[in-house]
Amino acid sequence: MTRRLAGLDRTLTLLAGLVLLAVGAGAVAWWLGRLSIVGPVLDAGWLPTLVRTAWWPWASTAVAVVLAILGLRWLVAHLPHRVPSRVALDGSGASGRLDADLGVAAHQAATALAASRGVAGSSARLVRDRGQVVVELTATVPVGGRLADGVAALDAGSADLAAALGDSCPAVRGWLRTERG
Amino acid sequence: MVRDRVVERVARRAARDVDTVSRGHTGAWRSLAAPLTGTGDGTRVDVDRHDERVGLTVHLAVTWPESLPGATAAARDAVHDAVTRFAGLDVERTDVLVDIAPSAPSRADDPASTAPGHSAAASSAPAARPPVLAPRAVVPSALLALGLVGLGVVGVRDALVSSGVLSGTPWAVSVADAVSGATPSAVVLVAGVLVALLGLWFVMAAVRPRPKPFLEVTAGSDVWIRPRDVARLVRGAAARVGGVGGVRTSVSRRKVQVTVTDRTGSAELEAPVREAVEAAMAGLARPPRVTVRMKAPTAQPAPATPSKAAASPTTFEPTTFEPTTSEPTTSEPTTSEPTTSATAPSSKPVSSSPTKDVS
Repeated sequence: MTRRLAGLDRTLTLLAGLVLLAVGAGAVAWWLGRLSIVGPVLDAGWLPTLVRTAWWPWASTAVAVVLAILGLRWLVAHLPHRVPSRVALDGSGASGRLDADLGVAAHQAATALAASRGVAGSSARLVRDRGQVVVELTATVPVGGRLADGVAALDAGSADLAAALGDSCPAVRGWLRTERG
Repeated sequence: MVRDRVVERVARRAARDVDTVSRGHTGAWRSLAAPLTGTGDGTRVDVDRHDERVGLTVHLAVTWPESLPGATAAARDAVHDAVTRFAGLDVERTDVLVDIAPSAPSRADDPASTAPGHSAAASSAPAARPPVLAPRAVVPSALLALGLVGLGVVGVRDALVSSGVLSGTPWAVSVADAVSGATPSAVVLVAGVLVALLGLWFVMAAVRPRPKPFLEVTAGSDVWIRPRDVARLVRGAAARVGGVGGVRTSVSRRKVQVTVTDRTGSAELEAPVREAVEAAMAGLARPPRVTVRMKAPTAQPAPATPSKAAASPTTFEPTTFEPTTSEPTTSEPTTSEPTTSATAPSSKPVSSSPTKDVS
């Protein structure tokens, strides 16, 4: 999820929430007789007239379709996006591009993790976290195992990635998991 | 005139001669295809030639975790020099792509080492920002988006009714008739309360910060653990204390509550359980506060020691009887799993073998 989308979510949710709060509070106030501007009967005679005009069905349909498209677009924006895995290495320039696959590098780090003592399993993946590409390494400690073994393996995996990718290395986050007992 | 195939061979030979470039096959399918492609190893070169000028794309493998920038730069320089010298061509551009980086030999027998030439004390990769769950506004915004889609469906349906394709009354007309002349009935009150509560939820979701349920682990790099994994750790540690029957745990970022069924029937277990739990969490950067609760088994009414229990900060409940379980009971932590969105860790189970999940 991008920051822009998160900001859009928050803004529209806040606006919708305030509108709903106002409508709900208004309804309750009306029921309590505290809403003098409405009166005991809702005077909205113009509404049935409006929806029976000749142009209403087509205008409302056009607006509804546009809103539906925007809604679908909004929903689809929340689907996870593929993180570009190719990364330009230091030394790339006019004489040529030096290029590595970040996903493969992460996979190699995970393979090394799995071979570490005290680690029962491992995995790696690329994520985009708040606009930042992050390699997530996961080490699973067996039942009765020591956290320190997993920590040492993750430290080594992170150091491997830093050594292999140099200044092109993205942020690396380690996750410790424990096997189900 | 030097043929392209000769240029390719010269370039490939130069790349292979670089010390840090692997001469092994770069994958199973390439190993199988090697007799057909004639490459013989993981190094191959694509030549893009325009008269006496040439552009090269070199695919090679580097042994993990050798420095990829160093290896690729060395290969580029070597290829450039060789093609210029032996083929007499003007190399305009050399792109070097690292396709596969085969693993170094297993380090299972030497946990202190990381890989050839590196150590755990080597500099770690940059740390990411502290992990968080997806924003709370995701669910309300998804509901709003679905609401917009629903409005579209209603609009299309009403249009079809108005044009005579479908029979019935347009829903917009029904709603307008219902609203016009409405009186403040109980339905209005209930609907108003529900709408206000929905609005309150939306507002709270919009303004509250993203949840941060994860616990940081003391490490040389950026390492975190989920509450449910801490719960498993704590449960295992408590269950290994002699005399402990069942164990229930509840873990959050600040507090760990362990409820232990005491087979011995006394409150003597509280201290060793607490020690075991605290020792299990010693690796956490900010260990949560531990609360231990003792419960007596049903089979053997416990000879309680009220004075000791009263002096303890934990609670001992001699009147509470539960069936003794041979296996520790489980209780998941109070915090939910991180989502699989691009902002949070996956909820996929970790495989026993390394997997790559590039999203």
